[in-house]
Amino acid sequence: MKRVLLILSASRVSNSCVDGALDAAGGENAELVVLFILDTAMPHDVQERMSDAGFLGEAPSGRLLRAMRRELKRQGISELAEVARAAEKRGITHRTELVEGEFLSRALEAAQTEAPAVIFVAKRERAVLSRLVSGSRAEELKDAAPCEVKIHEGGDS
Amino acid sequence: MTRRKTLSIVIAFAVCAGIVLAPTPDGLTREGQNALAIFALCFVLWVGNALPLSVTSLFAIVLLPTLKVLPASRSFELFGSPVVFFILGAFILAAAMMRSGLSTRLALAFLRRFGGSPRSLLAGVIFSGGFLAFWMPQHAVAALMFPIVLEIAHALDLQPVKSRYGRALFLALAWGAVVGGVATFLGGARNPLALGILSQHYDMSITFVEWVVAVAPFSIVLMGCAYLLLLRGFGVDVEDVSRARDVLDQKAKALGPVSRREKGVGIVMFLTIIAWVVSGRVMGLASISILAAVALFVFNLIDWKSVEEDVNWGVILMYGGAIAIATALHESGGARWIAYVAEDRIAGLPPFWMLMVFAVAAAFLTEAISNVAAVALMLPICFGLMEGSGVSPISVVFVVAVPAGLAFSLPMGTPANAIAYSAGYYRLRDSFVAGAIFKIVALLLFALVVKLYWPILGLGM
Repeated sequence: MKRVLLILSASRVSNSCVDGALDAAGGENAELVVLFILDTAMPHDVQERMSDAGFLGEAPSGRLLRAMRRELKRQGISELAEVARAAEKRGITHRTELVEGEFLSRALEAAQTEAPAVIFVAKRERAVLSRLVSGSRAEELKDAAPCEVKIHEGGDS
Repeated sequence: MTRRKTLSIVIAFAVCAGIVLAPTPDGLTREGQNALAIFALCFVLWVGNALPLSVTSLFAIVLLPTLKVLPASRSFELFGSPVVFFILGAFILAAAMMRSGLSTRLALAFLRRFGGSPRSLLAGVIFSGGFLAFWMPQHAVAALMFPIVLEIAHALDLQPVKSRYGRALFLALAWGAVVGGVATFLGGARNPLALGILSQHYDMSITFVEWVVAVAPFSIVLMGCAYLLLLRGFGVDVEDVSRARDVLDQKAKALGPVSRREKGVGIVMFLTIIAWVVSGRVMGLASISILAAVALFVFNLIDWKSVEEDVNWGVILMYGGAIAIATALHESGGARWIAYVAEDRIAGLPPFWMLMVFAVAAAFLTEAISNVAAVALMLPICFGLMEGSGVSPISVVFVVAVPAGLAFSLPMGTPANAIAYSAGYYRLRDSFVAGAIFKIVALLLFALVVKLYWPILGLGM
């Protein structure tokens, strides 16, 4: 059975991306695999900033990190449930998975293990300058993935 | 290392080397030129966040004697500035407030008082964050309030991004802490840093009371503006907040009765503030701050392990280095030369408008750079530009340090913004647009304060 892989994260949620994946899976009669990545980069960036610019020690910034991770996990579970409901409604065979780690490496791992026909991913919403300097993980995924990658702009939800 | 960090380091060294190797322009000494090279290096590293802020400061301290801008003894002695010890004491006080649970109790007490309706709950988040940031670092306030606001959002079943009230609530968390942080020396360490630079340059000072009287009314009115702006910008799509109120009640109940430690920390904090008000000029703010920290240990209200866990000691390096860079720019003539070069562009501007140019520059620079770095970089140059204009350096301190604390738009501007943004309840474009509008409102209000209120206090232009 063909597979469509939809990759989401807290900062990469897009209605058009989810709809695109549902349409593709429904149209091709493929299995929809929905992967929510609890991206460790953002909470760590915030924690680092707390420590670096806020000069708070390990204890308060660690508490903050734990609170952020709990929240991201809660949002991941909720987002996966919402996509699963939509897939069920359209009679699409689906599977959901929540993983934690660096976005690009976890996405590439999933691209290898699931061997999908197409990957749907949303770009993280960022300032233009930041994207110019740091590049885009979604674009990097497109370059490195063994299959077609459809990128949607993030933040349209 | 990320591409951005590598790029920042390469640019920083290239700019620094370029300035050092360039021919020395007329009117600038070799020491001044090297000081400007170090200044440029720090600017790029701070903007690019290529190294930890405190490591950049430490690097500058070493470069100053290496490039013969300041003698090594002078460069290193600036770490011993009283301001650095004031900030250290303030951080230990904040750690005691957090460890004892006093800060959480105060935040909950405030929120419960306000939490009758969606509108008043929103006001509660702004004002409780703002009030706490009067007495402890704004970043610590945002970190402390973050789990509370998250629980409120869960209780109200607010959906990330989709809920307009959710967006307003998390922006309120960031903005309250940021706006409250400008009102005293405790909310943002950039304020005492500015004081330290003032003292190094002109041997002048500003008392705790003078700062609060000059800035707190602005801060309180701005909190009101934040409330109105968030209400108007995002609206309220929640009708009932009784479940949030229940959560707050449960959390308050779980804290139990006020503990001996909380009472002790409260008393030490209260007496410290009284001492800053009554004898700050005689004893010095730093001595009082350190005495208060010692009192916390004497009365067994905090232990050293907790302080080590709660305070990042890079704070000493950052502020010591920031004062050293500012002093080097002043003493080497680098700041005066920039002022000389820029004179043609701003000559003829009335003092009020010059001050406003500084305020706008500080307010926008702080969106891209740590507000401490913004003050350290801007203040010596602004002092140079205002020399001979008749404007008091004290006014210059206020117009740089206060707007430098007003970062509302970008997560990189201040940790409080980064914390609120990390919850995912609002998108970057929400904070960018709303923050830009709030910034304009804040600057207009600030201009009114400078023009109409400060002259009443004798802060001349």
